[in-house]
Order: sequence, then structure tokens, then C-alpha cells
Amino acid sequence: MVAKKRKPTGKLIAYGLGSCALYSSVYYFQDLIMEHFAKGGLYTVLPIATVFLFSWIHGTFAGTLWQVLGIEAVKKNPLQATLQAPSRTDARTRAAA
Amino acid sequence: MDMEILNDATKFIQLDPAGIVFLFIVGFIGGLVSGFIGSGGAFVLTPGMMSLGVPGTVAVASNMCHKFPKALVGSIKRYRYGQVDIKLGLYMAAFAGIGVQLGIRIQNQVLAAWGQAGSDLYVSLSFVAVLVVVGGYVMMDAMKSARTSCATEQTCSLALRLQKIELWPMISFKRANLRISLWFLLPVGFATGMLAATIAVGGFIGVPGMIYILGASSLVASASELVIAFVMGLAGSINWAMHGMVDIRLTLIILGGSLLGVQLGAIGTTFVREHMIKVVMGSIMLIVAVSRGLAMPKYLAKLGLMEVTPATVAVLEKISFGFMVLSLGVGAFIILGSMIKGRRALSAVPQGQEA
Repeated sequence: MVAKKRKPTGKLIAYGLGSCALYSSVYYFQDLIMEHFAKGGLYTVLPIATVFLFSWIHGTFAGTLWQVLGIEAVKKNPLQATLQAPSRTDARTRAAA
Repeated sequence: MDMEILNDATKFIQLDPAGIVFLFIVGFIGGLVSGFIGSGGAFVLTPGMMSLGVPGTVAVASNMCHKFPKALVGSIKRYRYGQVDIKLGLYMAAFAGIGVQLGIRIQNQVLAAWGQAGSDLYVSLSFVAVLVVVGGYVMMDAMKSARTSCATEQTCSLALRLQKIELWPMISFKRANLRISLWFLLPVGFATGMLAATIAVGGFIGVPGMIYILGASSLVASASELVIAFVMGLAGSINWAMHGMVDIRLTLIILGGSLLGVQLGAIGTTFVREHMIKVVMGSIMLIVAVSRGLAMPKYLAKLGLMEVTPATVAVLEKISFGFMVLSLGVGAFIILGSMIKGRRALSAVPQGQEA
């Protein structure tokens, strides 16, 4: 019998709160954000860094959500053969032995 | 695109709850499709944003700024499943980068010669030609794969023949398990970039190219496409952001949905039969071809090549947009359906679960 794994509910809540905090900040400070984020030039780092931050926090929340809901990847799928293309015969010429 | 005409006052729209929900949902479905087939979503998101009143350049820029983090998250997930060939993705991205530059130059020349209507017609013709030819081929191959009794996808005979040609330099790709001349890799990557610059979805040539010309499996091709999308998306986004064209609010709303969707799509690839990737890709491409075909009379009329009343154009535009949304909906429906079916089939067989 396979032991039931504990679901990462704590992690889900933590990253969920983080994600809410980030999105709320963007909503409440949108005027300030829009004023600076679209200035161009060196300010380019602002939108790029922001999406990386959201990818980390919200991305982790999203991945954990699917895990907690029980939707997880399958390691060895008998419906799929190997991920790789079939083996090739090596037709390269060889040096004389 | 003429960026100088946009001033700060008109660039960024006021967001309302309906617009936010719309972008989140479309972002989710676009992410789901991307996570599964490696590309998609952009062709609905950009016009979708424009339908909310967002100027074209801001829509393209904001969409691209969500695309690369989505692709990053999707590729990390699929890398953990052993599906991503990073080397293949990087080589393709390098050649695609060159293709993008040529694609942009051609676009500018068409714009200069025939104006905006001519440029739009060129884009639509490119869309329809590529989607019908490539999408039709992918769909036929998917139907053939579905009928075979074995679970293994067969590597296309063209790819096997090309792999046998010893044309220096030969490059080996470990994860994709293929060895092929750089001279066959170059045009596939190049065409991906050119198409990305023209219709914003390079993966419609990139993924079939990797499958049928290079000989990668559907899983590896669609997963490695996410690497290409990340590299090109990041480069493009930096460029747009430097011109101040990214509306970060739109990007983050779409990202909110797409980070959920892309991971679900990635998970889904592990429990379906491999040919489903081709089924979803072929379906989406053919429906979008219809959508773009319906948009063509408008540009033909503007160029004086066809007689169409403004009322007819308005109706055709609405139907065209409807078909575009339908394509994503159908894609999502097939993905979720095949995931449910795949899970049921697997629950009858003991297998390992991801940690």
C-alpha cells in the first residue's frame, strides 16, 4: 500500500497570501506604477523584474494549487512510449581498424 | 509600427472588472494551450486587448511581456518531466532571432509599399497559407497516429532521411535523441523567427518543423518550443519596455491566469497519448485559418481589390474574432477532455506519481 503524502497546504496559503499582496499592491499603486514603469530607457528593469517576481510567487502558488487539488504529473505513462525518437542506425563511415 | 504617435494620455486604458475577468480567463486558456502544445494564446490575447481599447503596439508589447515568464514556468515544469531539450531550444532560438530581424524588415517594406491595409493583408495571407498547409498536415498526421495500434509516435520518414545526411557540422541533441546537420536546423529556426515577426506565433512552424524535419517527438518539440518562446519573448519584451510600451497591469492580469493554465497544460502532457499534441495543434491552426480568412475581405476592400459594404465588413470582423476565441476554446476543451480520459485510463494501471 502506498502511504498518502501530506498535501502542501501551508505552502499554498503562504504563496497565496504573497500573490494576493502583490496583486493588491499593483491595484492600489497603479497610478504610481504606470507613471514609472512606462518611462522606457533604464526604467525597463522595473517591468521585467516585476514579471520575474510575480512568476516566482504566483507561479509557485499556481503549481502548489494543482498539487493540493490532486492534479499531478505522471512519471511513467504506459500510454506513452519513450520521450525520444526511435534509435537510429549510425551510418557514419569508420576508420579502418 | 509607428510608436511616436502614441502619447502618454491615450496609451493606457482604464481597466474595468469585466475587462480584468476577460483577460484573466483568456490568459488561463492561452496558458493551458501553451503548456500543452508549446505555443498559442498570443493570437487571441493581442486582438482581445485591442477589443478593450488598448492600442495595437501596447497590446503586442504587454502580451509579449507575459509570454516569456509563462514560457519560463512552463519549460521548468516540463524540464522536470524530462521533456525539454535545452540545447535544441537554444539553437532554434538563436536562428529564430535572425529570422525575426528579416521578418521585421519585410513587414516594414510591405508597409512602405502598400500602406497599413496592404500590411494587414500580407499578415492575413501569411496566417492563412501557413495555418492551412501546416495545420492540415499536422491534423492528417494526428489522425493517422490515432489509428495506429502502437502507442509510440513514429518519427517521420523525412526526418530520418535528413538525419542520415552527413553534412558538417552535425549536432547531437541528447534529450531529443537526434543527430542532424546544422543546415537542416537553421531553416526551421529561421522560419520560426520569421513567422513570429509576422503573425506573432512562431511555434506553428517551430513545433511541426522540429517534429517532421528534425525528428523530435511531439512531447520534446512542444516542450523545447517553450525555451524558444522564453528567449525570444524576453528579448522582444526588453525592446518594447525600453520604448515604454508595456502596460504592466495587463501583463500581470494575463499572467495571473496563464501561470495557472500553463502548469495545468504541462501536467496534462504526461497523461495523454502523444498524438493529442498534434490533434490540438492541428485543430487550433485550422480554426484560426478560417478566422483570418474571414478578416481578409476588409483589407481587400481597402486596397480596392474587392467590393464589400462596411456593414458586411463589420459582421465579418465579429465572426472572425468569434472563430479566434473558438479556436482557443476548442483547444482547451480537447486538452481537458483528453486529460480526464488519460487519468481514467491510468488509474486502472499502477504507476508512479510525481513527488
